[in-house]
Amino acid sequence: MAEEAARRALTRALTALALAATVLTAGAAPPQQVAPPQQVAPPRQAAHPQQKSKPVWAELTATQQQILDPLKADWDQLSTSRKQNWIGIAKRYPGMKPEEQKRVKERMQSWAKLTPEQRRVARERYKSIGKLPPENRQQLQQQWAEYQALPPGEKRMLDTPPVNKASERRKPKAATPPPSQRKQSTPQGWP
Amino acid sequence: MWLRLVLPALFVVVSGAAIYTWQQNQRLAETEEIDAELLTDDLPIDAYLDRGFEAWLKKQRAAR
Repeated sequence: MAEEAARRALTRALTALALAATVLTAGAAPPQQVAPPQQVAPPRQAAHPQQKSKPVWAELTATQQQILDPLKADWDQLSTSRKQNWIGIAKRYPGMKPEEQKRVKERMQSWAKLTPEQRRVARERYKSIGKLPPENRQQLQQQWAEYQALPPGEKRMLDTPPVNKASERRKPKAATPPPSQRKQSTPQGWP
Repeated sequence: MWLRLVLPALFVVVSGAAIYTWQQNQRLAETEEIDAELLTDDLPIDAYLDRGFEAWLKKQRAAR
């Protein structure tokens, strides 16, 4: 009897373990659903200034310190994953061309100061418009120059979020309801 | 006897943890690579922060 009860308890425990493992694996499966580590890990120092994420500035090698010098002032505020990211970039630095090294140094601070969301957006846009073969790079630079030369009004129109544009397009199709009904037609949760 | 049950469960847990860790590392490596490319790119970072530029490019490409 006791053996039977123990066996049942063990089976239950193992089922729970297997379920936990399944959840863990499923959670890891879709990479795009999991927020990048930069977003997940907020800088702990903000809440607990005494806890510093590793490695602290003094623990970096002299070469790393030299490369990452523009980040020195903000280094201790970065999360561990951001620090690992910068250390990885510092490892690539010696293999970069001189003009690329110059750009990295110039952009380090501004990149580090962007919000995680802005960095995520920039990465996504880079993947969609920036990843081009060398022969098309020149063209992209020209297009950027052309875009910058556009009048501010035209740029502002292009900068309108696509959601608003879509709703604007939808509006003329439907008969314009009286003002009292217009409010009801707005989907819930919209500002 | 109970080892027959524990070992497969342990295998599942360890495999799950290993897959999760591997995926995290892959993601970090990908982020690092893109960051390095963005930081060295001949276009300024502002170009990739500008929603209007992306919209304008799409418009240009669609017009061709």
